[in-house]
Amino acid sequence: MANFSRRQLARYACKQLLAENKQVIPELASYLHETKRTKEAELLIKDIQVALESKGTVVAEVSSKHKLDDSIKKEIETMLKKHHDTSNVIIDECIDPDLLGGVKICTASEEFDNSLRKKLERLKTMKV
Amino acid sequence: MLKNVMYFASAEAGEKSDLLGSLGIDVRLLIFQCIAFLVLLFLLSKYAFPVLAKMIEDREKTINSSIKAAHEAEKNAEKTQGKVASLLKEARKQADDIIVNAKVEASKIVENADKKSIERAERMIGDAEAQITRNVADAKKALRNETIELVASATEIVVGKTVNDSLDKRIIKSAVEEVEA
Repeated sequence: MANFSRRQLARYACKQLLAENKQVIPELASYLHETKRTKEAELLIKDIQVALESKGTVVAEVSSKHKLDDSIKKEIETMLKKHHDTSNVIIDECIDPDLLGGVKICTASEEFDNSLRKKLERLKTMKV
Repeated sequence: MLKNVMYFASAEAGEKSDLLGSLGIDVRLLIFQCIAFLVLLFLLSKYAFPVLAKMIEDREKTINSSIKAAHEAEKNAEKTQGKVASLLKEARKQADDIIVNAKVEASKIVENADKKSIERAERMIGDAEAQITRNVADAKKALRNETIELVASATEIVVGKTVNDSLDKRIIKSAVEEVEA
């Protein structure tokens, strides 16, 4: 089996995803399994996100303590569109009780952590 | 006239010899003893007296020289006593000077020691004050850090219990607004 670099795989997956081919994800998973590169899965996802962002599709992982309602999701989407100057934003919502409150938004290129956990950490770093 | 004198003398002598004989004195023996005495006197004056006289003279000289030496010694002693007195006076003066100088030196030393002690004490006080300031600053830091830690922990506990859905929504909204701004 040919050995492709992570970037090559990310570019390919990006192209397929933009072409609405959702089959590419299990294909990649089986490829990583076959080539015994499952440890690279996280990095590959990041690379795919970067590739999508470069093509104008921002994938944002939005973490919060409670499930976000639609109005908040809409606000976050608008904010990201404005910020990245794009029209296509995919929000990947996840619940993280450890955040205590607030929201953490991670895109391929940036991270906005406005969670209460982060604020408490900032408070702790004020120690001298 | 001379004949008369001789006559009377011999008569006198005859009278005297008779007188001496009546006293039990042998004139011839007396004359012999006189001669022996004179011979002895001569011999003594010839041989013994000069030696004795010389001895006496030497002794006298020795005594005189001793007396002279004693006088000189006395004079010297007087002179020496005078010198000793003046030396003692000088020594006393020097001793007084030395004592005065020593007192001045001692006072100077005490003054310097006092000055050094004061300086050392001031330095020690300064160091102690600096140390106290550092300790206070450290204590303040430690207190601040501990307070922050406590506040953070307390906030974490309170927030974990009090942040409900609606409050979280408000927090998220303001967070998004913050990012937009």
